[in-house]
Amino acid sequence: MIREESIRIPFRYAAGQAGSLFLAALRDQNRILGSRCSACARTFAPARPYCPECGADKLAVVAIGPGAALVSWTEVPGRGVFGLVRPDGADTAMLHKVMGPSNELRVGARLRAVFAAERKGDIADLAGFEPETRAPR
Amino acid sequence: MIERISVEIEMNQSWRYASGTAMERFANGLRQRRIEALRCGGCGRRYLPPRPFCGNCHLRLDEWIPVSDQGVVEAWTVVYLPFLDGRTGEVRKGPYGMALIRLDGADTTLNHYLAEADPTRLAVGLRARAVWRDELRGAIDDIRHFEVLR
Repeated sequence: MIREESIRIPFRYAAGQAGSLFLAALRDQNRILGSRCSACARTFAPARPYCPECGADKLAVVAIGPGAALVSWTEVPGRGVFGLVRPDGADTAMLHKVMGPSNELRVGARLRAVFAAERKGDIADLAGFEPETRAPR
Repeated sequence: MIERISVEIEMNQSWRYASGTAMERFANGLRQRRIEALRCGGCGRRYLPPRPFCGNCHLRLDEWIPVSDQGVVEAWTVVYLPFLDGRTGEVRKGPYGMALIRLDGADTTLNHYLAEADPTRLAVGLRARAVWRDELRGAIDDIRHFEVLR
């Protein structure tokens, strides 16, 4: 007997100080925020409350992107392409949707951020990243 | 003052799994309002829900025995916090009762809902009876809940 089951899991979490700044900037300014650690001179994407490398908790918020480089990607059948995308100015990559057919993508491909028309303070405010070679919408 | 943003997410989790032969027979029995347990030939322990191996003797179990849809409340609680029903993902509004019920003819307990949510009317040792749904689909929630027999 094969059972097929499905449940809904609704939940809500506090984005926190760094996460709230990050989401508000997506919503209000079309900007991606990262955090720069002055102790170890790394910039993290997206903004975060403390440095995962050296533990420092006094990070400076900096704008990163909207240009970005594709670090890695995978295609999920029916759902599109997801990539690790490193925004310009950041040393780390973030997981997000990559637009366009996967056969046009290469490691190191230049991308740019695409913001959603309607934004509400959610990661989906950043609709994804598309190849820079595409005509801007 | 930083604006505090909270993020609402709804995940849909779906899965398929093979129920195994013991649970398959148990589930098919429920569809006919029949509850069956597996008895260990080594120690005599009667498992409900059925399991393919005895936890004491590690023997493979294949002796099916009928079990009543009535039994004894061995432990109970009243849940006041609205929480996700693990079988549907829907929020189950509190308060509601839950109990470990040992059905007559079984040695282990079944975890299920109670129709009673008043803690002053619940006690270990009370008798309870399964209330079946009208539409049976071969799953543990074919039993809607257990009602306490007064």
